[in-house]
Amino acid sequence: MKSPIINISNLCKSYGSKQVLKGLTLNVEEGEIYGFLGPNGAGKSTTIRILIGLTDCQVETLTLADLSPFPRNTEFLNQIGVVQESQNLYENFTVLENLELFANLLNLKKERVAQVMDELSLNGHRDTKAKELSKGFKQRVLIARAFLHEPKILFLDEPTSGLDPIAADKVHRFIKELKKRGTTIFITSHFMEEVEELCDRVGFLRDGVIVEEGVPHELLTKYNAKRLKDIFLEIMGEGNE
Amino acid sequence: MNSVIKTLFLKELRDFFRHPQSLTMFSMVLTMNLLLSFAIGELFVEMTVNMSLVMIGFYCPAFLTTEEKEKKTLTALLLTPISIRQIILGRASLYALVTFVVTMGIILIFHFKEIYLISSVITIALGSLFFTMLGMGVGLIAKKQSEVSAIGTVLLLFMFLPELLYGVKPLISKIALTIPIHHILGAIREPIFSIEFLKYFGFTLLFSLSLFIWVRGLASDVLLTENNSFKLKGRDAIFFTSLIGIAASSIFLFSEPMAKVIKIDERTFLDFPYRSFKIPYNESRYEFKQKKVLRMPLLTYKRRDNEKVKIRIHLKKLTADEDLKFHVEKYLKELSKDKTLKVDSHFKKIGQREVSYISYEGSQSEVTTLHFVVKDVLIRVDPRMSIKNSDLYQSLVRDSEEIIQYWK
Repeated sequence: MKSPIINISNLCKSYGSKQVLKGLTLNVEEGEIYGFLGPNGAGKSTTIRILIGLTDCQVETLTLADLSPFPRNTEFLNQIGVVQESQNLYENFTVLENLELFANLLNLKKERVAQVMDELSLNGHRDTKAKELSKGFKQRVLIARAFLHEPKILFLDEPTSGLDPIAADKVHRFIKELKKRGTTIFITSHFMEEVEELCDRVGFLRDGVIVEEGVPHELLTKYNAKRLKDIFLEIMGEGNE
Repeated sequence: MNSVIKTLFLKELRDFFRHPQSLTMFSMVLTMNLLLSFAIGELFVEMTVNMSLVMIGFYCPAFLTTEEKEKKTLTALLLTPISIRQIILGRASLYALVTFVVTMGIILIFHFKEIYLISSVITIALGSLFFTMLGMGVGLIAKKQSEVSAIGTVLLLFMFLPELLYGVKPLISKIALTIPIHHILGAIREPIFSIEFLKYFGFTLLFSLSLFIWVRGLASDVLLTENNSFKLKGRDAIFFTSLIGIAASSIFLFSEPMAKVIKIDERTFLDFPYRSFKIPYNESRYEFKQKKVLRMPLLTYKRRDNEKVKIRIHLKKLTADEDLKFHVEKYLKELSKDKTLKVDSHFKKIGQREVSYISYEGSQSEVTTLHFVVKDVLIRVDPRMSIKNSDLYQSLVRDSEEIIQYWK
């Protein structure tokens, strides 16, 4: 049996006396889109920071594509791509300059930049500075940047937050396209419709642990709910209001 | 150059030319130097070099590092397979280079005669790297750009004032000795193979090395922490302790002992252990005070019976192409700007020494200034008094001549 591409067992993280993650355990299979759900402050972003090797933790098992993020290592970083919630592009650089910078750092050929720009329809704005782009367009550039080196695992933290439906739809279509190519996608989102549409499996994070996990349509049946949002509200309950 | 560092260097270069704060600092340094040069005519190396090193070397990388932290672009870089050391070197290489080029440009334009070229090239290269790393360190600690401005303003004053006032008060001199800019400015004025250069450069190197090691560790900690926040750690305590150690050693090594009163052939002299001269000193008539203004010794003989009467002695190291005539002409040129003054100048021998006398009518009495040269040092003896008494002034001039005659 194939081992999961993301394998986390008993992950704990504290900030001072506050324990944010209390033994989180989850597995993500290769090629899957996994929705990581929870209210604000539940520890979703902290979990992603740990998974991409930016924050240390206490953990029993933590491997991504059979590699450990700690200590920070090149082999691991070559396997992941990350789109963070903050739109962290170099604002004074053009779209092309932003992508070329990262392509050079990743030791990729220029043709790869042209290819990704083509795939995400960025060519019309290749010479536009990032600060002049709309939020939706910036998001596409960020996805392009994260996918330049064709990582095995792509982390998307709130990928459509603040985007209009048209921009969000473009992002959704590209995520589906990446899945077809076999990329594993780990996604956090507050839009339950988006999660229902995209995710193969979802996990609900509450009080630092996964309290529910499953395939969206099976969860709908289990909870006798029409929408994932109802399940979210039921699981998170009043304690998080 | 490593291809990653080259990529980061080019990225920084592009950012520099498009970043309003970098361009503002860059143009401020150039404009202020040109304006000051135009307004004052002569610039102090303490001011221009300091301004360039702090405003370009410190501010630019500090602002950009904090901005990248705030906008999380540094996090994006960390998610590529490059090392934190490469990120630091990429930024440091560009800003150290820009700071070096600007500072050397200023030195060559305004202070060429005051410095030694090879000493300056080596020291300013290290000094530029020091300030760039300091800027990056502060940029990593600061949460917002406003914090960088606040720290930078304090830093500029801390670097600038003690150095400018060096020698005025013993405490200020001691503070100046603990600041790397003192050693940078000291090293550029000494020939490359001299002990003095090695001492000054050695301390610049010690300050720099401890800073580099600290910034490297700091970057790993801050960048790999949630929200990129700074928390004081044992490493910081070690860094600050090492800085205090280096600063204390500097005070110990560079503090000049006061002049000693000695007797040679029944005549009393002031002996300066770090200098090769002995100055006649009529202890019963005068009280002696030693200061430095812009590193130039300023010695004052104050009359014990009337403190409004004094002789001031300024010392200035001559460069290879300067001599007594050069400085006398320069002084006369300065005086000629005041059209109301009737200036008289002539040369006269006192013992074996050729002495220039420059006289004019001052507000209280006739003012006479005497210039002479011993080895490569120009000495200006200035009898001064703020009361009107011609006889007293003449006796003061005679005492000045006696100082020149017996100067060893």
